[in-house]
Amino acid sequence: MLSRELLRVGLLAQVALRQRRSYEALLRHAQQGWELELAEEPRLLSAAMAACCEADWLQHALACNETLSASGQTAGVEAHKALMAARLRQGDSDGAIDVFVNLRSRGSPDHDAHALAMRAAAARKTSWKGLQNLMRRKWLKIAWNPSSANAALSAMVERGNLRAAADVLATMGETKMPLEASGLEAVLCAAAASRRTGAPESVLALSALQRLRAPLSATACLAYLPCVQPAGRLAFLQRGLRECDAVSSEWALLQAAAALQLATLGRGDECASRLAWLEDEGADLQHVSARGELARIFAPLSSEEAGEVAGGLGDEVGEAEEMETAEEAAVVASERAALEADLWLLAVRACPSVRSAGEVCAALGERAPPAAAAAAAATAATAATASTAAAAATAAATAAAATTADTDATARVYRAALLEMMETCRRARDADAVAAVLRRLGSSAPPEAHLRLVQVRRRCRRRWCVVGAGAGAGGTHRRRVRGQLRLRPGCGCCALGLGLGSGVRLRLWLKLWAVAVAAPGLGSET
Amino acid sequence: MELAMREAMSMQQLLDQIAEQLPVADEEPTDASDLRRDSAAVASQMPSAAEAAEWATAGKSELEATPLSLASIRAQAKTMLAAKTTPAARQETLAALGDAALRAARPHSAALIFDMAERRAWKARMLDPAFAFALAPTLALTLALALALALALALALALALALALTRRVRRARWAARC
Repeated sequence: MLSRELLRVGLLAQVALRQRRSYEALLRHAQQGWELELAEEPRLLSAAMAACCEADWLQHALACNETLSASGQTAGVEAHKALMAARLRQGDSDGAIDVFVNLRSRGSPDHDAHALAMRAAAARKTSWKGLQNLMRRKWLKIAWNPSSANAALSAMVERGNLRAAADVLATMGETKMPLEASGLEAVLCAAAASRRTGAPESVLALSALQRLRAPLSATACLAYLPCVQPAGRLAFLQRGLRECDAVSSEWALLQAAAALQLATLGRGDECASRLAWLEDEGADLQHVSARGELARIFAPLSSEEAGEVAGGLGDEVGEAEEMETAEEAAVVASERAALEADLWLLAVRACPSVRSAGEVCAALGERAPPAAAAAAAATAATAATASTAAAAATAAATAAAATTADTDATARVYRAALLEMMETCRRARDADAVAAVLRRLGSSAPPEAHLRLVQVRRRCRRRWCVVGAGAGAGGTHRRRVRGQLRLRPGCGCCALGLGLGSGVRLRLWLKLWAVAVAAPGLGSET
Repeated sequence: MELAMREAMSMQQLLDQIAEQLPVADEEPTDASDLRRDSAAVASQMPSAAEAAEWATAGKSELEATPLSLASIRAQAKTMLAAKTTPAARQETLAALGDAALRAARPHSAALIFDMAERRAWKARMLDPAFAFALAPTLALTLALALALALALALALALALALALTRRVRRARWAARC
């Protein structure tokens, strides 16, 4: 018989890894295979509910709650608090207050629950007086304690309502409520929002936080990091790592931040070894920074790239809509989001040079499935004879991409990393590096990858447009390439669709024929 | 711009107010102006030049496997599973290790522990005579049902063949008569 504690570990691990199907299968298996009556296990379901809330799986969390309610049981206070926090993250302050009222009707909620309720109430009011009136209402009755006072302060600061925050602070002074780290962290985040190095407000906020003599949390560390001089950022993170508990989720977040900081300094191999170490430690590199803190600091997308990602996501949404069930669509969307937040990808994006990005990709390639690794080893030897160091690094990095199977997670990450590296090469205007990555991506290269080369190597635009149009496996890819080409009036390939003069057409036909010989599969396109 | 300035000033005021309300330590500045003048408070948090230099050349020395790494967890779990204790005690120890892995943000390690423990528990269950006895009637029933189904199918096939043959014979006779 499997113990409840062990089953709880299994369930929480699946939720932490965001493996929805495995989590559901495990619950089913526990009920059917191990003949465990889940409805009579309030501790187990409460823990699962809290974990689901943390992962923002509200539907699953509510299912746990319903299962318990149906059998006359109730979820624990921790689970309710997690549900309130999840509702608040989604901007549903009414829902959070409902949970608090429900919790209150069943017993006396603890300080943290009052703090969460205060945050929810603060979302409804624009002034401290209004908030005070609301929290004193009979049906709500939020207690005034250090946690709720600091929650009110941080909620007002987060909303940018500094006047109300000052009023809260004044009341705290009058009622002798101590300032806590949670309140001051919000102030630090707001003060450091400008991201100016050595901004006086952020320096003051940090020193205020220090006076509490509490260890600096990962949130505070990451909030203040952009305000530190670039040369001292790594050491600042190291300080944070020394202060935080090695057995905590904050530790993993700070280690990941240190790795990405190394990437921004162009130390690709050190970054890669740190990421590989984190992976070997059992950390989940896709969900370490589930709320996107690291992506915002180290690898923010430019407006152009963000637009492209949005376009890509739009395509994904379109594909998802074609799927049979909403559940499948949700799984695909969450997988896509997880891939976007993968630390390897962020590291490649954060790299300032082609060389460092190549080093990260090479390290990732070594961790890829054996077939890809063998290809990497074979081509790394040939890359050693390349003329420039950057080209060698690029070739070594991209060597392992030989038609990666999309089903394998590592291969998927690797392919995405190569595409990300292509962006780095494009920014560096290194056409040879782009071509090397493209070659290694082979048939798995999306049409956008071909366009990258077109953008970098202007002289070969027409030829590569055609190759790009032909390389796509399905009609969707070809349509996407065409759609993008139409936006480029100078491009010859579009001339066929736009009905140009017969002389131009003849010339283009001849060119297409020449390309078709080199790249079979163009017949349908022409 | 003006709005931004006003906001910046409000933040300054808020920070001044915070500085006034913070607990006063002996060696620390007492108000916001002192705090601003004395940068020692911030300097204690900021890395020193030596530290920055140390980190600038930091290598891979600190990247050593911890007791919660995948390899270590696998080894520990194997040892625990091989230990001669009761299954309940074994599972309890494994669950504690899994909990520690989850708290330390190592979900892959926790998942590995669970997989190993579950496999062992399932194997033990299969070898358990009570479970085998409980399973025997179900298996027997399934086998009987399968046999019955196969017999029914065979009968149906034979019947269909017989019918087809009879028809053919009748047709042949009819043709012979005509």
